Amino acid sequence: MDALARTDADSDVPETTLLLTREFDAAPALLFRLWTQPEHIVRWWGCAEAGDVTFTRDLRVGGAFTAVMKLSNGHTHRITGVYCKIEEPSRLVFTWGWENTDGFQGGETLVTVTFKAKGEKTELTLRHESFATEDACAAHGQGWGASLGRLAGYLASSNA
Amino acid sequence: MPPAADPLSNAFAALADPTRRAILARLARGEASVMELSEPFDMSLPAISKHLKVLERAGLIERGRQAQWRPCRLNGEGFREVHDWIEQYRRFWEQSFDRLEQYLEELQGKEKDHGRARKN
Repeated sequence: MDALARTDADSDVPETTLLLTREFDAAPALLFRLWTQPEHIVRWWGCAEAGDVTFTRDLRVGGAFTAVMKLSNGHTHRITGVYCKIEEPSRLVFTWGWENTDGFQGGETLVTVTFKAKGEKTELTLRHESFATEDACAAHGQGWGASLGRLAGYLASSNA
Repeated sequence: MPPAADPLSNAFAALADPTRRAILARLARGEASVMELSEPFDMSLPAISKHLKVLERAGLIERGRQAQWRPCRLNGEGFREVHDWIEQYRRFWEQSFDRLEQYLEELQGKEKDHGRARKN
């Protein structure tokens, strides 16, 4: 197993992990607040068609949050999770479970957001890992090997 | 493995195990028998078979139907579903980032007509 996994060690991000980076014109402290204070969160959280967003949370490690989005088409999305790490103003880690009225159930996943000062701006990196277990918080940081990235690449190239 | 509510949860639960991922990595090189798959592991054949059952149930592998030599191979369709699932999150976050950017501009007032926040 190790030998197989190690061949992929350089491709740090498996295909089943979503990694996004964006630069924002604000300091990390402000962005961190926008990510943790409900009155701010409801102003930006959600996809383009998200209408009314409600967000409640218990901001401490082990505390839970719930976001409910009512979409313009009448559907409701509900996201719940637990905070794993709260390192103001540089890092926020939480689990994420997603359900919607179309019956989509995402299972539990893990989100890591890092806020890195770049001059007067912030480079925000979001990592959304495609599965997590109840041990997600504890397991965070161990990673789960990059062999899937290789697999996905293989599948894409072989139109399996 | 606890019964999961939907196929994707099954797939991700199946992927959440290093031995099973190693088996998949081996199968990415081509189909193989249970015997061949068991070689790199210090594990009994029944133990490997159990892992294969989990992968098969999750739609990540298929097994040949010949009685004796039942080669295992990857099931591309199962992986495609996993990939599509990731895309839903991409969409969610990218659109959230757009909104966050706009909201930030609102918060910071109109002082910046120049040097608008940019994506990278």
